[in-house]
Amino acid sequence: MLARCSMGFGGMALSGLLSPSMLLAEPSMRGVLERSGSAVIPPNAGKAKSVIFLFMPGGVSHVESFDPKPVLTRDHGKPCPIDVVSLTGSGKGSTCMKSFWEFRRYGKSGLEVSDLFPHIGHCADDLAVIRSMTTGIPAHGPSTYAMHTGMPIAGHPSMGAWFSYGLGSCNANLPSFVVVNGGNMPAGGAVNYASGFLPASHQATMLEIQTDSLVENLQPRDSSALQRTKLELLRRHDEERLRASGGDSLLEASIRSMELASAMQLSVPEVADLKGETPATHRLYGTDSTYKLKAIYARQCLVARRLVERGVRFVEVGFPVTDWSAPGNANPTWDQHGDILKYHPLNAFIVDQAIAGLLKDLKARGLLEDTLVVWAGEFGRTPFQQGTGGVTEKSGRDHHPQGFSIWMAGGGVKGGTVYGATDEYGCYAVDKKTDVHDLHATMLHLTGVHHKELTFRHGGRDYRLTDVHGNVLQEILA
Amino acid sequence: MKFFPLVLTLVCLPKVWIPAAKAVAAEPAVPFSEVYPVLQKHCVKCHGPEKVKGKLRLDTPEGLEAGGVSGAVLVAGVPEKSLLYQRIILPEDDEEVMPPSGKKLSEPEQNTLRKWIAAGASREGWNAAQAGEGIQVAPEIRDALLKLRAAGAYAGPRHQGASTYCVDFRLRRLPIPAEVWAALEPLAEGLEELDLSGQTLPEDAASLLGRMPRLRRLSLRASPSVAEILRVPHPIPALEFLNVFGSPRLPGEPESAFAARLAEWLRTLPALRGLHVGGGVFSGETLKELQAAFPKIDMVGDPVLEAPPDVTDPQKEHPPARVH
Repeated sequence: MLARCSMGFGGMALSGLLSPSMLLAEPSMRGVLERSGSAVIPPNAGKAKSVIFLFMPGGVSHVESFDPKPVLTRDHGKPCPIDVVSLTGSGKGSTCMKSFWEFRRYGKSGLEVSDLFPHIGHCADDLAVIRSMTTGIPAHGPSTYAMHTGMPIAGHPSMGAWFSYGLGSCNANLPSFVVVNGGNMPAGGAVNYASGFLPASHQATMLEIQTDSLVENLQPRDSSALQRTKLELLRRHDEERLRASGGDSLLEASIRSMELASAMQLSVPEVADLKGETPATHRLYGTDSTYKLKAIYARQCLVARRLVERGVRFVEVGFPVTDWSAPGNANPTWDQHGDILKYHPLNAFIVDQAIAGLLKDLKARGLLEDTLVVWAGEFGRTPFQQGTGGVTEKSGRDHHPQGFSIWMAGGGVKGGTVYGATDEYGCYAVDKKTDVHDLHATMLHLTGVHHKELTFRHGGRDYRLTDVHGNVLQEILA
Repeated sequence: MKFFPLVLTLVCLPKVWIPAAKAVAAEPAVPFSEVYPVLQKHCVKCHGPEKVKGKLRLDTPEGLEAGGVSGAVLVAGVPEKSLLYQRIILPEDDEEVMPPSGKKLSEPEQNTLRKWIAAGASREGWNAAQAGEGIQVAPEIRDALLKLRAAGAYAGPRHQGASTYCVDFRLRRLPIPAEVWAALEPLAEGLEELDLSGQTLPEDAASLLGRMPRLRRLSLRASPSVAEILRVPHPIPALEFLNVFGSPRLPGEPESAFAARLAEWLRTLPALRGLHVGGGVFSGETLKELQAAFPKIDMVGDPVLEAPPDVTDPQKEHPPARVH
């Protein structure tokens, strides 16, 4: 059934897309997939209609954010008794390092969040924190791939592409998988957003919104009638070529992107134009911040909300370029091998208010119940300091994929929940160990898709986002 | 236009169609559930509830049986003699090709119809196919759902096998005309969720809302019609969640008057337990009073930004690092 989604999108005439009725009355949420000719998902089978993925590139220190470890405070400066292999050495004998930030209990649930994220803390009753996450790979690239695609190697479809493939589009004028980018790239590059072996039309469309000025010349120079004629001619040629070639996912995607691009001439400026938002909303997200990076990230989050409001299935929010991390830089944003005291709070400062604002805004609008928000990096950071010697202001932490924290909110997730645990030092996930496949299975479940049924035949077998693994985390479901 | 056989296409196309490539000799029967979406996609717009061109309806089993002005469209077992098949395989520039404008049926879609007719054109499973989930739906319900879908709403059963419905208009951008609104009538009895976010409703919309005994969830987020609905509020006995986020008041209406009218409506909603009333509808003070008057209802107002005062000043350039 799902396999049918991939076909026939070349079939929708551009003239149809450009007609006023199309632009004004878009195909509906969870409706029949116009271009695929098949109603795939029964209505409301899942609670979440859209997903917002807040990726924290580089790895946030879990023992300094969502996983308090009093034992680390007690043993601060002493050798770590647990043998856990980090990228640069062994944990055993390394110096334990307590959290630089205090933890507080928030909300009715009393969920603990550190002072790195004071705003997110106030959303504690909406969060389900998974403290036993693992990716098993201590390097940025493979671990980032695993988080995005389920596989630690490049080339597999991003989960956004899987959601687009499985749930279909519900707004013909916008892509179903969008990356709202602040200019930076996660480790491994844009392959993280690719469609892999899925039809190429499911790859992400990137929106770059570092500035608040819109592209001005997005409207065609031709009259719309002339543009339609031109595009129609182009489509006919493409389609004939498509037939002659016996079907080519890349060509189909190219036709599709041509159609979509023409629709986006109108839809994207509307989505990205934040002038219509009230001053209160701007203050809530922090788009008015004098700290430029924070203002950029706030705009990204606000645009993410506007996208899901308009029926986009999967939105990933990227990171702005910082002095300490830029594209091509070996150290992604949160990768504080040293100077964690300096850069972790800056990173947190950039995202904290905007993320809390996003959660609160979605909630106030009644959208949080059908929007799943996922916050995760590719791993955590070691509970001990990197290198030898005593803890100083310059200390940092190494990569730590053996047990770290992520959280989910909204979309059918039980708020105020803590799932799983690491050992008393925060080294290994010891209770309800969770991996990326479990995360992906749960995300799919919440959108009404069984992860074992969402398959695509490639290389001689049916592939899934969860490969041959994955268990839905039942305890965090509302 | 010349036709290229699409056999090669099948290589990368979904597994559903693969038997078509392999099994030309065996021709396995195609269930009606596969035929239905093809008819819906290509035919029903002109041969359906809205238009009945050539006096032919392809949206009902009776219509398929009866044919139109050109006679029967089906000769069971013989696709080549069936108008339904003959007309769709004509070249694109042929005067008689169906559909006459727009996109032709793809080769796999043509094959679906051909094989279905060849195997006897059984209409078994019509209701299941049209509901998409294997449930029985009365014809007037089906017509209503399709009409709402055509108007840009999602409209369908609440979930698999359900006898209740949800209708979601949130992506529509034009005011809902009276005739589209009227399509909700046959569903009113079983409507469980209704999303009218941003919608301008026809004038007497409120009275229909009052005839929805099973309506559990109603979103009027940013709908200009909320003020209008509040003129004559109708009781909705089962309503549990109501969203009036960002709803504008009547021109010139003071906040207190709007609050009083909303309160009057809330009194007629005995099952209500959640109310979204943010988006600048009320000041914090008014909302507090309203919440006090209705302690059982969980009211979500405008989001407030809060942080421990000594931790982060949102307006500061850099956050303080706290070492202890």
